[in-house]
Amino acid sequence: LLLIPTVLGVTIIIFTAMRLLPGDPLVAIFGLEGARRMTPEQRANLEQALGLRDPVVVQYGKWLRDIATGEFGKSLLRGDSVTQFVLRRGPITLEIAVLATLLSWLVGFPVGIISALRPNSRTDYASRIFSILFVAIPGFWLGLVVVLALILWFDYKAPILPVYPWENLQKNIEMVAGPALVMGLGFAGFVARMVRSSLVEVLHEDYVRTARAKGLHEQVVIVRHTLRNAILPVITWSSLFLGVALGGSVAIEKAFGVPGLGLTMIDAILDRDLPVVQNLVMLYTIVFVVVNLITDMSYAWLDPRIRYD
Amino acid sequence: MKRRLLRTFRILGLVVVVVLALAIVVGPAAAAAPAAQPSEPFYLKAIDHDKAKRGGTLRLAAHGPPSMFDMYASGTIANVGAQAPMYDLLVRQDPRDPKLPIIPSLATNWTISPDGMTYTFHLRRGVKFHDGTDFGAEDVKATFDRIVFPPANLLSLRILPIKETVVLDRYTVQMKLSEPRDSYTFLASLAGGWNVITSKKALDQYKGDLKQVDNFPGTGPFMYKSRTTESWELVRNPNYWNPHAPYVDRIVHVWLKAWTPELAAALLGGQVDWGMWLDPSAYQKAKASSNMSGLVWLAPNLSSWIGFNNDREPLNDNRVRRALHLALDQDALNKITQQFDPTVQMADYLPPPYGKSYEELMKEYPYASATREKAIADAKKLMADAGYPSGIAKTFNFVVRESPQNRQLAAYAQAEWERLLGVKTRLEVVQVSAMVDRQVAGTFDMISHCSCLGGADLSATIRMCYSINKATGKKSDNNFTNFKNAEFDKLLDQFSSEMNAERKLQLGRQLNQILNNEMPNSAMYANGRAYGWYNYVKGLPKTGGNSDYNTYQWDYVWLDK
Repeated sequence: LLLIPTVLGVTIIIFTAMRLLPGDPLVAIFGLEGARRMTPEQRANLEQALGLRDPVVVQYGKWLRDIATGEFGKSLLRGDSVTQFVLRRGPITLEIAVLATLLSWLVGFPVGIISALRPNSRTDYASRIFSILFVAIPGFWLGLVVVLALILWFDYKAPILPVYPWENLQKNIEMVAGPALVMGLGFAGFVARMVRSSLVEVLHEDYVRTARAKGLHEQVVIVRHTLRNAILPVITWSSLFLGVALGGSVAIEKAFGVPGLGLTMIDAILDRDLPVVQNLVMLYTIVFVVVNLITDMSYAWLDPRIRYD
Repeated sequence: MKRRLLRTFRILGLVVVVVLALAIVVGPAAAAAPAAQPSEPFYLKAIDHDKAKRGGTLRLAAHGPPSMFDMYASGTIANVGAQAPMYDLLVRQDPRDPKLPIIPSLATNWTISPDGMTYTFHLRRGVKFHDGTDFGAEDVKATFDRIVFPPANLLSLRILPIKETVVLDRYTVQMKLSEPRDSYTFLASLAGGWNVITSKKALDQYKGDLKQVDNFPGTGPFMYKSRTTESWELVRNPNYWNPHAPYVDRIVHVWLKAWTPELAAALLGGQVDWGMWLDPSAYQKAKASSNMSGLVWLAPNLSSWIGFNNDREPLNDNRVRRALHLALDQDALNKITQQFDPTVQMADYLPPPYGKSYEELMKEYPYASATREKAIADAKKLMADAGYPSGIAKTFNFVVRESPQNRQLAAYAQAEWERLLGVKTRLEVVQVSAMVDRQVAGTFDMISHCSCLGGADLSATIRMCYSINKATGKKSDNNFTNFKNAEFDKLLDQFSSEMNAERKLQLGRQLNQILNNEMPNSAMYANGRAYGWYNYVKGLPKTGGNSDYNTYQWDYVWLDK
């Protein structure tokens, strides 16, 4: 239930921040010359029609009502509704986020496990260096370097229209692979470090020593007894990744020129397209909060000792 | 007998020579004169129509998308760029060569009354809107009534001197002018790409408010198919009235913002066939490429980098304004702005032939480098005459539009004014969307990027930028500098209604001179818009004019691939 006040708090922050930004919505709609040539009466009529003349509290109330009814407003500049943006570009961003999270597991888990099983060995040092490196390098910078390499060596062309997996799988993979790889490797560094530290801690627990003393095979000890207990913090982080991936995609989609929600957000910010910024931030917040809720609930499934009253 | 015959041949030969010579001398002048009454029927063809191939998809990088669809209320290229192919104009600028006269479109021919105040247009028959309704004179009247007399709650950005549009019969419409215009100016104004003809039925249905109607009916060469957040797709109109056009089957406008790297990458990477408003680097690359072409169209705007608030002390004194102008090395300003956009060039207040060209300006005081010292000395003297021999105590508020060139230019002006004249300024950088509030409210001492959107009718543009709105009696909507000059207003009235070219030229030059004396703003410039395309896109003009907004119908273009 804390979810409701959290979301409401965020709506107040977003709404206030958007109202503090300078800019004239009528310039976005009619162009600079159009806005200049309006008479005061025409301006008043148009602002009235857009609801800009309503008291701030009324504007806020209308926005909450729209969110509740799934009407996420309309772009001032592009004519499309935010719902249209989400339906058209959301799948691309979601695909990137999911692929990045999966990749982080595929790379991070083995690296973390090997590193934990051979602590202070060359393998451990190498994996730790690479983990720190991928954590430290900003995704957007790595993205730019990768794009540059792709352009120079593979004649890469940034996509100008979204291609969905159900339309053309190969082109879709070409489009999302770069951002997913860059983001996924960054997350993999986190996962590897998290898995390593959790495993190293759990490997010294008494029940692990008991399991080994019983003569269980080392693989069984690691997978069934150790990893299951070490995985909880990684799950927490991974759920955060999904949220971070949505937010992080803003810069990485721009670097790769991928037409996802992140690129939409950047364009909207640059154009002062406030309804789009406001509603997309709101949407990201809702996704983030819901993913956290699902994560909390998954704890109980992973560790039966955890119960929510 | 033989001698008489020979003499007759000699006389005949002489007559032929004289006639030929007259034809050569008079011919081009006659061709360049405003198209008075083109003969019917006229159907536009591509430049090399006989070689033209049909079919294919034309992929255009277009600035957009539009935020609404009312062409008459829009001031952005996002509308006219994408929507124009769906419509026809009453008359049009020849897209194959913008220097040619105005040509027929939905009007097949027209007559002009001797006093130049009444135009009678004979309309094309058998034309249908895309929704199947017939086109006729009522539609022309409804369209121009929407443009000239918009309903109270709606906006129209087009300025046309039309007092009344009268339907004479189903295919004849008459326009009565509210004030005289020379025929070229009036017809060129009608040919503006925004004045698309739609149906009376649609205008009645939506009460003239087309903001949310993405497919209001047109008669144009292409029909609306679909739009997404990334693109706008049109298909060939199979029932188009011109049997020769259009040549391509499909147009896909991909939204790519003007002057961005994304646009450049899409064009140079071959993902689109044509791109509009390229950044300087992309334009140069397109020009340099053997399989691409590039072209610059001049913008018909009256623009300055710096506007002075002529209402505020001490900027209401033209000596101070002139001193501030003289203190700036205009060629240096030119070079600063050309770093960002090579199409930008310093200009006079009014374009040639009324004002001077860049080359002429650079040869004389105060722009020629040899006269720079004198210009600075004169600036100091003007300040002393105005009562400020050692500078002004006040710190001026210089509102600067957020953009690299505006910031750099304002910083240069700030440094020079303080160094040479002891005039201090505080730079306030604001976003483009916040500029309008500042311009309209007049809350500035100086303001950067004081640009005024122009059209075919220069007198309307001048009135918009430097005079009063005759309907309201108040200053015009784009007269941000609050410039007031009774003599100027009187001359402008004469200029706008003058039918004689020579007298009009003299009046225009006088207007330009007044502006140069009064100096309501500084650093006037003209700029262009750069285009690039692949050579397999055929039919595009070789030289640009000053109204690229009028050429986006694409019915004269074909694909050779």
